[in-house]
Amino acid sequence: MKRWLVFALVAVAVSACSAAASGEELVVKEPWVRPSPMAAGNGAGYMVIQNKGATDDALIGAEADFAEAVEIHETFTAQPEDMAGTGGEGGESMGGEMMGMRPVQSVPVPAGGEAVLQPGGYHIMFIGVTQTLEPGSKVTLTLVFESGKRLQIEAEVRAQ
Amino acid sequence: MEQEPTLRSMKVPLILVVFAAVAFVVVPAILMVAVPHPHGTLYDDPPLVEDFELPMAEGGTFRLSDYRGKVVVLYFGYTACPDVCPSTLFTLKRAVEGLGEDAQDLQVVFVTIDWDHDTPEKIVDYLSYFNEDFIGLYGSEETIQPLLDEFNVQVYRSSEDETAAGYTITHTTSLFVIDREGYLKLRMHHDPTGSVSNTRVENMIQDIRYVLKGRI
Repeated sequence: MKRWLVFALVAVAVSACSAAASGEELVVKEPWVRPSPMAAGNGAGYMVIQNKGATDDALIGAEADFAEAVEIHETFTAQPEDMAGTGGEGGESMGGEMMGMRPVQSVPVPAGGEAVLQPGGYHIMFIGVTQTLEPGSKVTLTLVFESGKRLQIEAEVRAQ
Repeated sequence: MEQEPTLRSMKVPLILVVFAAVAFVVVPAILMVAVPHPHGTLYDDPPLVEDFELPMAEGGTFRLSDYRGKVVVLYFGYTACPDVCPSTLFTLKRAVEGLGEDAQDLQVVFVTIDWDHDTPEKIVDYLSYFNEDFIGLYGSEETIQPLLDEFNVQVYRSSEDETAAGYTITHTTSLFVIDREGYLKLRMHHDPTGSVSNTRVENMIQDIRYVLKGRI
């Protein structure tokens, strides 16, 4: 009897530890992607990734079967001088603000902190969307982290 | 007879009180309401926009001068833009809804800056998602570049090897508001950060309404 009890306690302890280690350290809140007609051929995904663990991590990629390629991009505000050599002049004073997008290798998800992927900032960029993303439906994507963790999530398709 | 001087002496302060109230309360209040405070940037010396023609994605030709009597909001973007453009157009869509009947005198015009990729079909598909009354214009570098120059819209294409998308376009994201007589009055800014808030929609509604009512 005693042996069984010890075995059961150890089993419970081990499973609790492994759950804490692998399962709930990275928590994804409110993931959503834009409907596909909103960005012809491309798409964007947003979410907040919380790191409840004690180790810094970073989002380094994502996978989705509804796009030909998936990258992490960042929207930035550009000044005309950033664009030196490309032939522009006077953008800020005359035509107003300029914005652009660029791929990034990773988004930091610090220990005890979070990474915010939102319109006008970091987003997961779906390139060559192969199916119609209807508002109200859900899509599955996999987030890939520097630590080697992979997180499969369901994101809602909505306009904003 | 004794009361008369008292009444007279009362009249002076009463006039002063009324005067003070008008000067310090009523006038500023009227000014607050009467003087427009646009959120966008006013053009000091509003230029008359040179007339232009471009093919419409739905067919036919758009000519700016055909829209005298209406306020035109111009936006330069591209359909493959996944973040800033949809966020801006979505705010504009909500602003148009918020304008109600006033929107009858408003025409939103989207001009593609990605003339090599944006076909009429793509543009129609894209805009129908936001508002079927939005007009989309397409063309070539030769026909669209002069318009970009006129509004000083900057367009830069990224190099091809940066992203699997092949390219991204960095561009001026302002919304240009042209009044009923064809003068460029206002440049609206849209901050795409985060979700489209009611405040941003309200600000846009207010700015468009100023131009619709000829107040700026």
